[in-house]
Amino acid sequence: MGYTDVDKLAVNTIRLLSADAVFHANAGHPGAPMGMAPVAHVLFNKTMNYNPKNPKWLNRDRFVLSNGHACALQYSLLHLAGYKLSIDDLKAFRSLDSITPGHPEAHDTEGIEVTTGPLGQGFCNGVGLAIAQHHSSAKFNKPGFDLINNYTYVFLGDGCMMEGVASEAASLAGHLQLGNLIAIYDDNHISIDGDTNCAFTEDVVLRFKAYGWHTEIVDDGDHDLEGIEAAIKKCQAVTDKPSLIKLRTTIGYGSQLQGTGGVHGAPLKEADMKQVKTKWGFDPEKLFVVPQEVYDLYHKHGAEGAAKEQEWEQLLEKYGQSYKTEATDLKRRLAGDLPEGWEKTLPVYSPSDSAVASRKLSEILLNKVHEAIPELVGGSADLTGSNLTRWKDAVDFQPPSLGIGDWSGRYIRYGVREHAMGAIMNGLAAYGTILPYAGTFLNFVSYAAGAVRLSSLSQVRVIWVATHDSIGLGEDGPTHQPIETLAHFRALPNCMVWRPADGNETSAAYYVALTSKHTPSIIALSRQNLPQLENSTIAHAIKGGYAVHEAEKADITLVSTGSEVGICVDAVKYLKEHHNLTARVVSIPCFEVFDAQPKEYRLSILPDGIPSLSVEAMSTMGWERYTHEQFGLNRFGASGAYKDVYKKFEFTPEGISKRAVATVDFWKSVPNIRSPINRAFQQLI
Amino acid sequence: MNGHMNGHTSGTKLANGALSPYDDQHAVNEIRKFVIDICRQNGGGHGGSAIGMAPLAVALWRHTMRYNPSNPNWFDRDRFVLSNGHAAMLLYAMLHITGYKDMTVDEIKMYADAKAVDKTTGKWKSTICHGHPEREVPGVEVTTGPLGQGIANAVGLAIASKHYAATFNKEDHQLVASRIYCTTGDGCIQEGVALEAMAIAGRLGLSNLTLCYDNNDVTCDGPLNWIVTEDTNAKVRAMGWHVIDVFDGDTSVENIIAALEAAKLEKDRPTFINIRTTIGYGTTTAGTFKSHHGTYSDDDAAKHLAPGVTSTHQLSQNALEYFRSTVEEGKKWEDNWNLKLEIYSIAYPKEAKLFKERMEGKKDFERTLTSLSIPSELQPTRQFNGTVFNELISMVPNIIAGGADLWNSNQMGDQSTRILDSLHPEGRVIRYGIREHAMASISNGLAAYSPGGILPITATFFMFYLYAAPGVRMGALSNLQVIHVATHDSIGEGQNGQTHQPVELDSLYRAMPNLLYIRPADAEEVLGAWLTALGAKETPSIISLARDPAVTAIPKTSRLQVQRGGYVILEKENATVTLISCGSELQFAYPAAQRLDSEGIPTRVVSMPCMKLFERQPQEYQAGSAKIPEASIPVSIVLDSVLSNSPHIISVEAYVASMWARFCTASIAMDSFGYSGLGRENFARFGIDDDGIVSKVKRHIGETNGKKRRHWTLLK
Repeated sequence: MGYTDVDKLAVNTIRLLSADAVFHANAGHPGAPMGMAPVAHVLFNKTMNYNPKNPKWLNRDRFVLSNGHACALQYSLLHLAGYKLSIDDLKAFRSLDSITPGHPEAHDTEGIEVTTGPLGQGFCNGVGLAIAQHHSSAKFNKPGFDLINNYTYVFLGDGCMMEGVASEAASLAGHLQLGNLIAIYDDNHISIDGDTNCAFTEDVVLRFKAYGWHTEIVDDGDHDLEGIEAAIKKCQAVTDKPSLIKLRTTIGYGSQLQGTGGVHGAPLKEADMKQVKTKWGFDPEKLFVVPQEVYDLYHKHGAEGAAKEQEWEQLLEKYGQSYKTEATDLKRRLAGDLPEGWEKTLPVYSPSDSAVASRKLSEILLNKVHEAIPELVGGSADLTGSNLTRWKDAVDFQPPSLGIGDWSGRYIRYGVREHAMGAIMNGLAAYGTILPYAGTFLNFVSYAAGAVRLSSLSQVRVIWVATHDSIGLGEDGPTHQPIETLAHFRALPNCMVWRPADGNETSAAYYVALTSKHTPSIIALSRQNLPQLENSTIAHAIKGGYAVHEAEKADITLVSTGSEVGICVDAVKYLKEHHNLTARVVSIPCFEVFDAQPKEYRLSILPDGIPSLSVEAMSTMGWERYTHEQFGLNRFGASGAYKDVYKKFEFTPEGISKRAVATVDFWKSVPNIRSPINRAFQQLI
Repeated sequence: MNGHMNGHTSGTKLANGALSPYDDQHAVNEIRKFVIDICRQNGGGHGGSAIGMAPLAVALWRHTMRYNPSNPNWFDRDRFVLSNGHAAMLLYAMLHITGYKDMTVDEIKMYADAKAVDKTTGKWKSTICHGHPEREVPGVEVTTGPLGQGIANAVGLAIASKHYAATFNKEDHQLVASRIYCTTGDGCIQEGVALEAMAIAGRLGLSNLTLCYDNNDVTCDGPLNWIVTEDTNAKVRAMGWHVIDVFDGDTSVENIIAALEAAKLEKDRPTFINIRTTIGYGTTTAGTFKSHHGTYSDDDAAKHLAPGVTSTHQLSQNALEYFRSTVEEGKKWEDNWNLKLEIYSIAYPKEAKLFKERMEGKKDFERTLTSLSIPSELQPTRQFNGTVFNELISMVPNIIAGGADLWNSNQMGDQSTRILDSLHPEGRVIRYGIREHAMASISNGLAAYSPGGILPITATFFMFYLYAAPGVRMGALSNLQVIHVATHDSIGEGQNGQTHQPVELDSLYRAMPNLLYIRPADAEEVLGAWLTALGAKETPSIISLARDPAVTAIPKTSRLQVQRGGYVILEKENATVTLISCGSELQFAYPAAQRLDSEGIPTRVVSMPCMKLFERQPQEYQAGSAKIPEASIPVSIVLDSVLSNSPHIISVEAYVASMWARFCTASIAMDSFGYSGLGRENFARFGIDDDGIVSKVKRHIGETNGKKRRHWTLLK
């Protein structure tokens, strides 16, 4: 061990760099960085393996700052460690278009593993990274080739501890016995609103023990570098449990306001800044000072890390000679490319094929595709039998000691923990060797919305298999029937929402979702059977929208998605027979992809001169952009057999025709423009 | 343990006066049989846990809970919450067997069945036996189904009961004594929302709450040890709960009763009863996930039938009589309580008056809101909202508010003298901690305790209502008035960056049925937002507020007009452009309109703080809404005059414009995430400040060559 005065100086340098960044930006959170500087120093200068010159080295130790508001700390460390983050970047903290935003963002800044900020998420990302490490080592390590054995370290504060999403993930991590996961809990007794006694009195260590975690307590996190390092070493030695170190720290250590809520989320006052600097022997007038010996200390560790990577690369080279297939597979995965020819395994259907529920179509697809794409790792939030997310001979990802699976298993039993599932998938995707998907009912993707948003924001490839996607789920009733869910996720930037209408559209949805390296997808699937449509092909559907039934001189265009497209096709016949109206039908399985098509194409699908009516058994919101009139459900659904619920709300050929006729009549007499207020018929509210 | 809990009269008594265990066991068997019949009528449902929990149900409804089947709304009843809502049939069976008159066998036969058509009218007739319990049904306290929510609701109900008791009880007059009973399966206690709520319950010392854990080691997918291997009791203890084990929950009603009684003796902590049961006990699929949902075999059905009996859905006369005594009991409970209230009224007339007003759900807020004056300087809407909130919480005793650790940033004011905690249950402000989801779901429980009696208010950043979304949704679905104060509501949030800046979240809440998303532009409209939200007695609202002050004052905003959802604040003859905006963007739209006007493009401005209200105008007006003085103006004229006079109707809002095409020909909006930086700079960066608006509108008009556009466009 042997910590010297230089270490002490380094710790104070980290504290001051962080405080300076916040002071300079005149906003931010100096308290946690000043409190956690000692443990951060131990990790970044003694414990962790990383190469600042190659932030993507696979076997690096992962660091996650779950209390993302403390990011001044992480930026300071990245700077000292020699990542691409300069003093000028620290000066630009929290300013527009900087690489040092107010919360750490993985796609903006080298060395940031995952995007954190919304509390609780980072902790779950850490669980995901640790799962990915366990899985990848089981897949790739061979005797003599301990290729993948990194640790994942997570910092978290009281806030993350209180969030339900973190409790879910902690319970799962304990169950999964993730030995390489070490979480460090900054026990500083302060949250924004004041002393945590106000809202947080539970016994955290007892709770984590109950989850099956190993726990350590360090009493003096402000000074005891040896104690911190020793605790980390003990945690590393426990290989069959994740570990939690409860680290007692003083928030804002050094400030006149240390230990109070006053240093949580506001800059130190100028006099206070000067006071701290003087106290620690820094020039009180200067900002962003790094003594050379501190740089030296860090650059030495960085160089050691670079050497370790060098060694590792040589190991990989040798590995490649002995295990060529595995090595090629690993390199391909890291590039994010799918195996050559995988798309040939996508199922293709013809109209004569029987009607099948799209959740079942998804299952058929996964049964074929999983063999071609070994990085696919699935799961479900305790609805496997309903989501149909598990291929026939899948092995569960479980600790081998439980006898119900092993580390190489590719199916994760997430439990009834939707939010953690989403956040864990973000961690899995961030690791680099896994392409995660998982299932739940579409309505419960809302439980995970906090995580879905971060998938989009941090540009990771994650796939949600969201079954029971409408009132068509039937008997479970309105508490389980999504109405507003698609409108929400369609509005989320960089998120694809797919609602395929049949087999080929399901294959198209998966094709685009699997090949979009930087975009998450939600694939909404039906519980009920859907017919295979004429004119539906993978090539058509990957454009996001196309004419599934074309007609010359049509009186109306019916525009629909998923389970309602087939009903619209039936309505075409009904309209002809009962009203002598000609209708064409457009399927738009994915707004986001359709929007990305050239205008000419979009106009060919939704042409001028024909009034249009959208049909989707949920909120009409958002459809105004595509159609003149909207038939949907702007109220909560009802409990009953799905056919009856559809009938009740008139999502039938007759019900659609009734509104189609109203639309045609209305637009006949209206000049080329519509009044946005006048509607052909009332919405269901 | 004898059976005389709470003075329930017994069915058959043994010589020594104790209850015959035969009656309990018989009742358990009858309930299990009944549940099997319900599962078989539609070929499905979640019968397994209902069968497993039958002994608990007998212990609760026959021996423990105080309630009045003839008046499901008796104020001081004990409340029951089925957090594992998929086991709804158990609740329906118990409401039937205890004599709630709406819960007939005919209704139960329509369980989860929408096809019921009323023969006389030919119209759809919906059953009250939904797939998951809904609180509109007499005897159902809260709507449950999405897992974990019910536990949080129960915590809310328990807080409400403690709060009422602390506020109104006197040493010699224990007016409010209701206890809250909640059941949970393995699912709910995996969900984060439940864990958040349980931590809060432990900290608040809710000794009136008993959570009964149906520990059957099976979930939907299979054995529990696939997904959970934790020490549940230790986890719950760590959160400050009292834990009692019952090891023979399949067979021993007595031991469950004993545990429930022990829970009543606990004075400082909520109680968790860990009851070991077998899912689908006694059936051929017992103990496996196959019993979780689905139907049961003929064998299973036959096993419970007496020789020669073939009919279904029939409870034995014995069992019915054993339970129907609760009808008389319940009336007595309520009569006694009414007497208590009468005596209380004599002893404490002032308190009694207040108490009765709370029972009736009365609250007086209009005077406060119509008389409040607007500050002379420009304030952030979050700041003035704090002023309004401070007035309201002093004037309206119904309010119980709370925040998720952003109270100061939400600017809800110093309420340290009003904190509700274990020592001060009469307090009015709850520190929820960083537990947004539980905050919303607990608030639903507070609101459900007695309609209008408590008005829950929550507060956090708008972005984190994303975490709370399932709770907010359940409030909307179950018609509960809760007001959510959502500050920092756009890219104007500033330096915390894109993780904290909503751009899509309005879409979720604007699309959510029965939820009012209100986005006031200034202090005047903040008052309007509160008038609207407080007036919506069966609808939750989100009041969406800005972090920063506006740079210019906006004339002609009106607190009364806000209740119409949208109205004209700048009129112009023969306008070419109508700008519709709301919230912090109205401060840019207004001067932009003036500038466009001065450059020869006549421009009107509409403020639209709440789309849903605006769309509802016709019905509201037809119903003769008296609150709006201009109600005599014909609807069509109002609507036309608001929107359709100009060729270009352009929305200005810093969100993804998913729904503006409903009203507009074009939108100035976001189509990406925001950035970390000062709020003002963010608006400028994305061209949503006045400069941006002016240049985008001019370019658009140039491109369209003065012609009217048919297709909605996003202006970039």
